[in-house]
Amino acid sequence: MGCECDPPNSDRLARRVLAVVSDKPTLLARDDALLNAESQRFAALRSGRLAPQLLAPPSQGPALKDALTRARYVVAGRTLAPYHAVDGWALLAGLAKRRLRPVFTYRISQAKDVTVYAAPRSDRRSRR
Amino acid sequence: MGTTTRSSRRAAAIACAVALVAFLVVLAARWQHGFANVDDYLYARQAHEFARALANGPAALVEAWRAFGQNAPLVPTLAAPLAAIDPSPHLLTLAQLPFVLLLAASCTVLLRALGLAGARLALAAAAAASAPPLLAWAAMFHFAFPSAALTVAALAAYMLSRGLRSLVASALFGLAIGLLCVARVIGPLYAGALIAAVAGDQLTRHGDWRERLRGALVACSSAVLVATPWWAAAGGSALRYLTTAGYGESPFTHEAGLLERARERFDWTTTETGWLVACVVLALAALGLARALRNDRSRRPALLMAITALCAMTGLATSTNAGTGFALPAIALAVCLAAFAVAAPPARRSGRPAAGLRGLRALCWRVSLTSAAGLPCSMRYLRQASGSDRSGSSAHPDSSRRAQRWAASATHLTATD
Repeated sequence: MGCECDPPNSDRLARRVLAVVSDKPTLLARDDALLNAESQRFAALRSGRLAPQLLAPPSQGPALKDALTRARYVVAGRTLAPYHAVDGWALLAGLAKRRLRPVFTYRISQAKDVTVYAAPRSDRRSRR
Repeated sequence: MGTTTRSSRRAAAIACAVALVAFLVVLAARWQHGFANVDDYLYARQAHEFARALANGPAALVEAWRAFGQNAPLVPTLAAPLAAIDPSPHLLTLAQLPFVLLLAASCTVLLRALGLAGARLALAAAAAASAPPLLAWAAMFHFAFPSAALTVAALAAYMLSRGLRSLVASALFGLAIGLLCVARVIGPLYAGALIAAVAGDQLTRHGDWRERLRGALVACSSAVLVATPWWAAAGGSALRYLTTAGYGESPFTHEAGLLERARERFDWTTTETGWLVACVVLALAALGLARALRNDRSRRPALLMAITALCAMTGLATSTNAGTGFALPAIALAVCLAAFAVAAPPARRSGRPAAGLRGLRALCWRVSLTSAAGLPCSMRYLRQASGSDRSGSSAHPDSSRRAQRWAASATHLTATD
């Protein structure tokens, strides 16, 4: 966890992230034991919502660019033990290029956090 | 009822009670934190789907098995009635309860076969069944603990069958093997290790070959009867998953030589168990094995346990997929041997080596008691098991940090737990 702290409540974190991304196309660029595709699907099941359309995290290159173009939300942040390694440079450049802005941050410890980025409103509207 | 049987039953009851209490303590710690792992969530969804399918009849259940073909069905199917009430993995962990009791009873049988009796048997079985490296996995809705319990149960049933001479115990042995094959997709590997050890044992026995052949047939029949329905329905995707996630190109595998794989397996297993505990268990297991080999009565059971563990670890070392709790069945057997080493009465030999052995045992008792006292703190194992140490893939902390700095400069909603 990056700290000598108790494990955080993963149910609550998954619910909060799900409340932001809803069932919209979401790129899970940060996944680990705490927050991952399964926790999101389970949170949707528990709350009776539609499961989010999760895009698999491509590591780098054109695939990442393509995923960023399709995603309405991007779940990113710092983790010490990611399940999928994502090229952070390319992700950062892609987020800036697409003008995605952070709309939610959850601090777990000094070395771990979750940030959800959202596409600009105009972009979101044009995708409806 | 003989005195020995009554005393063994009492020992099994004590071991079950202690293991049950320890399990409830670990479970309470888990419920207090509300932390669930990726596997917890996946299997909870699976149990939820199975519960829905069960309401629509067996055909729907088979369809659900197929839909989750990559995951073994035993534990989620057992948990399905609970999932119908609430699919939370925290509640579904209660489905581990029968396996906790099974492990405690099986440890008693194995330790009795090694020659322990009375209070020593009860204490050793209780210590083995509630050992933190095992129980920590029982606090998750995960398949590692049931696989370990069933592996130990299969060996215990084999001991009870007196070399497959008893038909009832042979059927139980087959049942345990069959359940093991549907408890985890990697279960057939453990079953293979058990069968290799038992085959070796059978080849070195003499006489009663008709009885033993009959027992073997009964064991095979019950194993096939139990394992076939699921493997027939979903075996294709399970095998595909085993080969791709175990040996193909996947995020969990990498190129490595055979020796390197064996080293990685050992390293990962000790990391999962905790280095100090792993060293103590390994040293004690070696001591227990050495002591058991000196005695005619305990030689066979000890060899069976050691060969099963060794075959399982060798099989696991063929893949670079570290997995979660893959080595737990081998650890469970090592813990039994370790408990035997600590609890066995001292050899009746005078001299310095015996005194040295007593000193080592006293030290091991202290370490064991220390780790037992730390049971409520075994959330550390939970964290390890939950993948915070899953460092198979490489992180990019620098880039994440940059992204974070960029994020911090923007206006956003902040929530802190």
